[in-house]
Amino acid sequence: MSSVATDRTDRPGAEGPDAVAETAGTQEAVARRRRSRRLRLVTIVVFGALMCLGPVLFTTDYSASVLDELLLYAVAGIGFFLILGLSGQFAFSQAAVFGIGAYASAWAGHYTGFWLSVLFAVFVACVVTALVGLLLRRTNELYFAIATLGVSQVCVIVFRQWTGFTAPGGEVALVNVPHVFGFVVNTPERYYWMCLVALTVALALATLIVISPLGRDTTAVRDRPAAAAGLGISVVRNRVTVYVLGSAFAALAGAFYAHMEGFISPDSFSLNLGIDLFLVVILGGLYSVWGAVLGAAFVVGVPEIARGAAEHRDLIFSVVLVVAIIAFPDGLIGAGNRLLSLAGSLTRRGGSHGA
Amino acid sequence: MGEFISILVAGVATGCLSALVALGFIVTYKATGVINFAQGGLVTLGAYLGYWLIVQVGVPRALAYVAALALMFCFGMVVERIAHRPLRSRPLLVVVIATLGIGLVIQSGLQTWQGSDPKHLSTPLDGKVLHVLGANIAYWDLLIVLVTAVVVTALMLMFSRTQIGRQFRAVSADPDVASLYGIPVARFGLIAFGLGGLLAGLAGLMMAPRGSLEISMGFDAMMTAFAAAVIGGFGRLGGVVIGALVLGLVQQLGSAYVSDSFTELYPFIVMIGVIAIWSQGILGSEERVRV
Repeated sequence: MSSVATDRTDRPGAEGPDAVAETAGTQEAVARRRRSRRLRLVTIVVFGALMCLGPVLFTTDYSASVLDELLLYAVAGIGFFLILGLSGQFAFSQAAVFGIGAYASAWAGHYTGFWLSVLFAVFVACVVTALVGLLLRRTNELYFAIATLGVSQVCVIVFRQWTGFTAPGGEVALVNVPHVFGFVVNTPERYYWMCLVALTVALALATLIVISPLGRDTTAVRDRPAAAAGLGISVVRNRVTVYVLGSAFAALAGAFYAHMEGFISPDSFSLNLGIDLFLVVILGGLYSVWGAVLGAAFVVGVPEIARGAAEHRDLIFSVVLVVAIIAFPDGLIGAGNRLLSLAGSLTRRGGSHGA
Repeated sequence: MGEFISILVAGVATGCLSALVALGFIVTYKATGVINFAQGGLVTLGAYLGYWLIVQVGVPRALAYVAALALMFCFGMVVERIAHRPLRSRPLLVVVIATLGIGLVIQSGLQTWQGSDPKHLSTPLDGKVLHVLGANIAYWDLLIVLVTAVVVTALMLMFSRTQIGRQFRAVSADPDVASLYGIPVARFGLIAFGLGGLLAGLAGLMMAPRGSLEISMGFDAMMTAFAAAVIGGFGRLGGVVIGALVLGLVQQLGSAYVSDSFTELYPFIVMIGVIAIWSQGILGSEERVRV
């Protein structure tokens, strides 16, 4: 798959069909774009179908719950990709928004059923992030980074201290059990199906956003804000929209996560979750939706495979994060793409269209 | 009255600690244009190094402080070698995440090394208080204020009066021209990061006896210091100190008279309020180009 965001890294000449600089479509270009669009959606469907094999391979409750976590991390990671990769905003609040989703759905769960509480959680997260985005609309990127890190700190404190909203110490037990079309979702396997649907929908949505006019505007705003403004794109509205959209993914994942675990505490949403989510997007690759899936597989999978190392999980992950950002800034997908295009240019002229 | 004075002094001391933390990344920022998000990890590291040398190894106190600061200077330079030098031509996001990542490495490394139980670094001044107008003022708080005043004055004099300070400012104003004049710009980056590490160590050592040593202490302090720096305007030493003092007072007065369960919250609320109105901080910031 040719990647969307090309010219932010020092990667030379890997222009995809969506590059900003694309000249207005000749018919061939339009056809190619339509084909690539279809290819992307087909890939997602194939991925979803393949993932249906999950429960066949992993049969115990425990392995199913690990898979569930993986899927939810991927959902939150896809949102992070939209903010960090597509829009290039230094928003470090994703872990906190995940927490907002969890706590808001837990609070709403006292009064209503599962689906409404999830909806409420996403709504709360959207309101909060829209407010943050609007308050910080004129700041430069470093201030934005600092302020969103501050927001994360604020959220953890609020979870712990605002006992009317959470519970003493911020430790909340969730009571709701989701019902989907008459099925009671009460085991990790059943959650797997719910999370898989969530991930597939998230992938499709993110892909649609990337190839939509909004996605093009976003790339333009990211790479050439002044030029984009000159073309009549509202820079502030675009940035806030993508920030809110990306955060909504995290809130949804957080709400599902809270119900799956049945118990949440503020520490689950502190900096350690932040490292995990960073790693999810950075290691997989900031420049494709699939990076988040790959990163989530690493972050959730590796501690399960290397049990001995699980004790030093945070240390290993933070080291991997530093190494990954320095050595492979495009992540595994970027490195793979580079290899593919290298192989492609050896065999024939031009870039490659490998998946 | 006595209570009010106690709160005031505690607020000033808290502010001074934030200022010390902030000075570290401001010095780095001035010379390199990079905000070192590893500063929080370095502050924690400084505190733990002091604890390790004094309590666990048993080095004499004065020597331990000097050794810890020297080590911190080296750690600061190591950060430069990892997160600044190799990433010069990379997007800013890469540098930000790399420094943040190094901070997290330090934090989780300390967790592995020292465990997560809170520890206490005692000093001979523990429990000693000065009675002024019915207020109890801890000697350690006075020492914090004194140390901060000395450091700030020294840094200001260095930047305005000495040859090396002038060179720093030249590097900070225009790295290309500075290097044409024979100033070793790369070496200044290294020194600036080292100095940042040293200041982080100092902040950690001053902070440790006031509470307990915890893994997250540096990161929390860094966030408050960021808030101070944002309010005062990045790159301005004086502005940062004023910002830090204001936040320290807001924090202490707020927890005494408004609500003490949200003490850590006040700085961020003030910060977000300030940048929502003045997007460059109240005093404006010195824009820096990256070296």
